[in-house]
Amino acid sequence: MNGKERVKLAFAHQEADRVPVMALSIDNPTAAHVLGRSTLCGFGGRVRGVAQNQALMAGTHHEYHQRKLSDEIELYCALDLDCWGEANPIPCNPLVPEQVEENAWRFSDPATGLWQLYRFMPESDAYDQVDSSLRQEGLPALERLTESMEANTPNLEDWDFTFVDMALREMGDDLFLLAYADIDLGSTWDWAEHFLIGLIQAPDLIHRYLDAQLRTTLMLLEAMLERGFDGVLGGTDWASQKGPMFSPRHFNKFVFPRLKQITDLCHRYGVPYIKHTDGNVNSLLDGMIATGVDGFQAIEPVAGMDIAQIKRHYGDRLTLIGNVDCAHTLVNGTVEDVRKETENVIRVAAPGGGFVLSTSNSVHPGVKPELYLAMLQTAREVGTYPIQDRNH
Amino acid sequence: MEQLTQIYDCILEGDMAGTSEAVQAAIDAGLPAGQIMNEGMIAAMAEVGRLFEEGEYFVPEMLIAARAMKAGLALIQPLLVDSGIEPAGKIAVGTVKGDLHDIGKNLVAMTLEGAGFEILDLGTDVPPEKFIEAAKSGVDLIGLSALLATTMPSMEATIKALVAAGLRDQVKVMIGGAPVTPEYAARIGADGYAPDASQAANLAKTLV
Repeated sequence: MNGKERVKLAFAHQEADRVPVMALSIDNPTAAHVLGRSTLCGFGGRVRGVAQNQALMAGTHHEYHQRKLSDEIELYCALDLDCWGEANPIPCNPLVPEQVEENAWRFSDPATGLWQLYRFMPESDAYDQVDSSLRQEGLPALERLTESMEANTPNLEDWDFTFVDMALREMGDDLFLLAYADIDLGSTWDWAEHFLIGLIQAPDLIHRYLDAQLRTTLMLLEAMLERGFDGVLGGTDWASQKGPMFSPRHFNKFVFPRLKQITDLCHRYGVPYIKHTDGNVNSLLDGMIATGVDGFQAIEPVAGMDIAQIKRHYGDRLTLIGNVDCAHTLVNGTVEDVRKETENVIRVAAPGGGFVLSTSNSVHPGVKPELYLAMLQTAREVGTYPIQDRNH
Repeated sequence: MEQLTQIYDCILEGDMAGTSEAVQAAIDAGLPAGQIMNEGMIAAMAEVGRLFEEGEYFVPEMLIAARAMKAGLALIQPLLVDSGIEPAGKIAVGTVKGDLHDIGKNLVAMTLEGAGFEILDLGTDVPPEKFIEAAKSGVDLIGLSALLATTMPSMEATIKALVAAGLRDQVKVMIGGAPVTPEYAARIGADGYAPDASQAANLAKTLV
């Protein structure tokens, strides 16, 4: 049985030969440790920020994406994982940044005059948008951005699917391949305060902004589904440790109806939709399922998410993907801690299918390689079906 | 008193213009600045915090309430100074070295201000040396925020730096953020841990 078959069975809530394993992304140093060299794998700042921006400025971003994809393919084959989800179409004419400091780049859109400043943090390998027109000016800038998006009809000709097609050729037979689509909420960006205030004080503008984004999202998603991707993942974070960033009422008003357009499109093509989110989303699980979400990834233990409880209440309707703790266990724990936690997660969530093992987020730069490898080894040792159930 | 009720209701509803009007009306009516602050504004923010902890208010509602409070504070601040009314304490807040996330830290700063504290916001990517400077400047409490597991060690480094500088006994330290736990706070010698902005304000009141 290959990875594609295993994950398909998981989404059919049936047991495969063994528990399938996926990762949201595998960053360096784990990727470098596995391949024994520096890599362009994952989501870390040196890869996504420094290397990509250098390539954009040098006009070599095609080479960057080629190398990145090759590294990912080699990594996932080496680890014998079952699912991969980092293929996205890239803009044919991407914005080229201006390097304004050693570790800071400014992107400016000449069409709208809007700009974003990104910063790389060597200590944490983080790369984030730290300032922008939207942050500085708030809702008037959002109005300009929205008007610009509304005035332009999304066009597939503006997108390059070279590396998407390459991923399908190289991995599409054996791995369950994920496309990406989500409702892109301003609450995860540097201008979050303006977005969140806008939900209450400028709802019409927020609706227009989200609708304008969704047009492009649906266009790209359909193109990916036409190509035969096996599933779709959405990665916008909805919550903190305490709970959702905004109320379930606002989720019902702004997010779920739009997410349903994405899940409906997925289901028209017969593929599942997986929602990743950090934080405590217990109050949103019913809404997620009603919106057509088929799988839930992360299930952060440090945010009070209990995979055993979720399996009991929702396990027949939601494929669970998680949740070995990558905030502490995979960062500061021992091999024994990891083995124990991995085995427990498998024994409470895997019986009956409807489960894919992953960390509680990604394999981020703070994860120790040897601990992640211990997690995978444990999965091989105890993850063969049938699995003794610890959840009843 | 009608003006205080009006201030309270406007902050609760996040009505910035209404809060400014109501605060000005209270000032014009001759209400003492301290009373306006405590019974109108701080009381309202305490209720906002309670509603947040109960899960009735979320971040957007807190943000608009905090903005309304800030608008009122701008009017009342000079009068508080003239009256010799001191803030509840002075708190330095910052996201630790290597971390650029600020919404959690900003929300904490807003709720602390709403609870009557004077805030020194050190921003993001704050090295231990800057927290030491803040301690030397006389803050009562330092609030450390981190959103990444990879930047949490900067919290421990900051506390160790305070110890090395001989300042640890002069200042309390509270920590919070997505990967942070009470156990981690205890392990690194922090004085307290708060899981959200509202509980940070409650914790600060006990520490200062």
